Amino acid sequence: MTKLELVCPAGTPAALRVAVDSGADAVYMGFRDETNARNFPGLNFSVPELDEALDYAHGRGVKVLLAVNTYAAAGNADPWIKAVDTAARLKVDAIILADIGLLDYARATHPDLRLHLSVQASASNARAINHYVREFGVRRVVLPRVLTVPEIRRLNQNIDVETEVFAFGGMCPMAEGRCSLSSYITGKSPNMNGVCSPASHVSYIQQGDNLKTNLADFTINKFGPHERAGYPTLCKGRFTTNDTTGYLFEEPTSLNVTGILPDLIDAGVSALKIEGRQRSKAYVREVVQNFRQAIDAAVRGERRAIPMDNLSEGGQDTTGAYNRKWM
Amino acid sequence: MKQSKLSLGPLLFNWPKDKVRDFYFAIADEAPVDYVTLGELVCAKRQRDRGALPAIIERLEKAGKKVILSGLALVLDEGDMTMVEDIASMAPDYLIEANDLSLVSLLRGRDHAIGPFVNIYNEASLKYYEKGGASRISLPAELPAASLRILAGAANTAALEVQVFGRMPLAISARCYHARAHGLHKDGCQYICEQDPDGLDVDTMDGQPFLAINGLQTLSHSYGNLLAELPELAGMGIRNFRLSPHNVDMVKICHLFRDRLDGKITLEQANDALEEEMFALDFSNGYYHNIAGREQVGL
Amino acid sequence: MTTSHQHPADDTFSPLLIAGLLTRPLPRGPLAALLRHISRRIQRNHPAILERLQPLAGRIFLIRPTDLPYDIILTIGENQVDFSLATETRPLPDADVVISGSLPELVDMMDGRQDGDGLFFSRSLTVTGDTEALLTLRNAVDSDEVNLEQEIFDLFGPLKNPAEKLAKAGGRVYHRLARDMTTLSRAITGPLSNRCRQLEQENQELTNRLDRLDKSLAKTRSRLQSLGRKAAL
Repeated sequence: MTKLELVCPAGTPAALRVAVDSGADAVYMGFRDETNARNFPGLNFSVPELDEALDYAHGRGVKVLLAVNTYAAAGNADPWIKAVDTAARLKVDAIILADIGLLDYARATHPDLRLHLSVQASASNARAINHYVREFGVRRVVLPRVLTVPEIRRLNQNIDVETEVFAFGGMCPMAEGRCSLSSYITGKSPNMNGVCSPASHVSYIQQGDNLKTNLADFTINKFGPHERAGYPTLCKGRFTTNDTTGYLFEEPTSLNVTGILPDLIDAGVSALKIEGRQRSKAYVREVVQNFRQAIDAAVRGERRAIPMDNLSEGGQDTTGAYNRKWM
Repeated sequence: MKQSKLSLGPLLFNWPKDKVRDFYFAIADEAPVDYVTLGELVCAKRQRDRGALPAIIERLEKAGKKVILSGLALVLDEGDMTMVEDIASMAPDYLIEANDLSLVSLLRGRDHAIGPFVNIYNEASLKYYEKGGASRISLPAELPAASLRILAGAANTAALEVQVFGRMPLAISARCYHARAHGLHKDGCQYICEQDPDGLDVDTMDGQPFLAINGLQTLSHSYGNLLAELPELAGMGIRNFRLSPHNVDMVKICHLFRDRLDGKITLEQANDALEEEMFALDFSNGYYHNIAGREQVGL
Repeated sequence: MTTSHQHPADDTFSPLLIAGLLTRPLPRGPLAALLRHISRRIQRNHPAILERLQPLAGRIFLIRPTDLPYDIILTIGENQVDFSLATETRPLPDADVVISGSLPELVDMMDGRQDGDGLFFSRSLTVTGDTEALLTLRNAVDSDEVNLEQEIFDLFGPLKNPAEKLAKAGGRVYHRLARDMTTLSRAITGPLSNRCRQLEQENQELTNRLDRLDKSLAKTRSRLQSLGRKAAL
């Protein structure tokens, strides 16, 4: 049985230490600018902080992956180029890229730098993946959250590269890296600005005991007095089509694959990614510890679903697209 | 702007077969467009083009229009891949527009087109696709004027295209929202998306117009309209303008864009004519002006 | 498509109310001193947090522990933070963000023991105002190991250990009390809450009708605006 690598989010240096101490095999993070897809205020790493993080993680046998997974701006690729060069200089274990121009640059300039293909590149089939492997020597592909477990199994039979899949956290119902919903409503997009439904456009409106969540003055959801709420990510609200109102795109729910780990291992997956660089250390600690347990149990041949409702929006878990019922 | 070319983008919606044929026959006979892109981009399950395609292609080519064939935007299973491979096999006879890297990889080294679902945000990626043989590149919807200008300056061998009319494609998913909105599963969808020839409107709980869905695809609520920006785009060196087909008098819309490009009508006349055809609908040009795509600047 | 409905819990008779009553005699003086101490400690020991807070210079956060009779004002300055107590003589400033929650949860969140998003999702925490400023504060505080509980004990110097033990026991008692009070309040308010639920249902129906009316009004208004804009052309 393949050993599953547990890849954990580090939004801040403290979260990184927590992830490392809680059983991560690898941590991933971004620089404090638009070069990464969690470009949130107060989050991410400066160059000296990354340097310290490398010492801390490597000293404990944990790998460090740097996400440079937005698309370089036309006429101003410098921050992205600099991020790639810095990653190479500091000797991160791998860099996670989505932009084909950057992949081209990294391959040509730093041939020894290990490249992972970001989920933001949306490589969802064998031909697309093999293209990235052939052209840029990509060593691992993070699969978009649109594939079922049987599809992942067949995919792994037709490619010769490691695959990493999302295991826990916020779910994009859309193919990642190909979604402009956020910029249509707020002017800021994941691809160009590294944000989706940015906090700068969010307002929470308390109406008595009811809560209304707005994004750029559009009503994303309304919650009754004790109903579990969610962040107003614009694809996770309640909307009306014809005369029906409900969660049209996706419920405020969290992906959780602890219950299907043996199936993912069997499908040939190499690594599990925990989403949530924007979440707290408390979240990182609990999720990483639970997944460490679940993976170790799966390696012993046990199947153990661990609910983590307290951490998820809406207090619900899902296996998302891994199960065809989701479609 | 007289040397500018007009193209009709791929039909995004699931229209009945007869309606599709009649639509393209009318385009062939009456619309002043130079290129017509055909093919299913949104959902492999849709059957609308089957059978009618050869007649449509023949009619368009006879009318002097150049036909481009477009591939799926999201390629997941073997069925999707077969569709992609079938289209690639027509490459010697037609220009093929790739909207996923799977098709890009099959076409590389040969003359081909790149669609707006392939991410090109900067000069380096533009160069990468040009090097691979892309002679036409239709750029993503969310690019602002500043990026378009830089890309137009950097383009060497590829003709760049920008969509100037129609709802903007914003997202694609493995999940079918049309089926979901009707309480159905994708596998038993009853082709329910056929009910909404321009997409199904999505409103907020407070009744604000928000988005539109079209099967696996999510579109803008507003209809993109870059009539006012045409001179600036032409000034950047962008010579190809894409009109996305909708359930309105597209022949008339093709004419008014052509007339505007040829300077036969003023911007005001063009907008008036557009308003007359689509009075109850909202337009926007925010992406071009580097603000929220839904916004309308200068009206 | 599913629409979720959840019945409101019946614990409106909040254990926090009682906790508030218990802490009411807590004198203002020592609490104010404690807040000054915390401000100094953060300034001295957590430069990384201060650096991440820089975009917030000039912002004011109002922290309302639902179980304390006092409000806490957090002012972010250039390379400094200032926690202070709101007093009757000092009018409440116009805060950019207002955060309400129980004191133990607020402290646990600051110390990274509890997930702030989780608390917000479960509605234990209420926030209004500038969401981006709030997020910046949350991320900045979370970026380093702050231990408010420890800071509080450190203040007691030689008494540290007994104080710590007492506080830990206090924490346990508090959580236990909270649980018991919820059960108790359910028992007491059960019959009443049934009647309340009926009223609430009626109220809900009226609200729904109003919502529907509002919605058609909004649609009409948006249509009219759009048509008005076009007519003005």
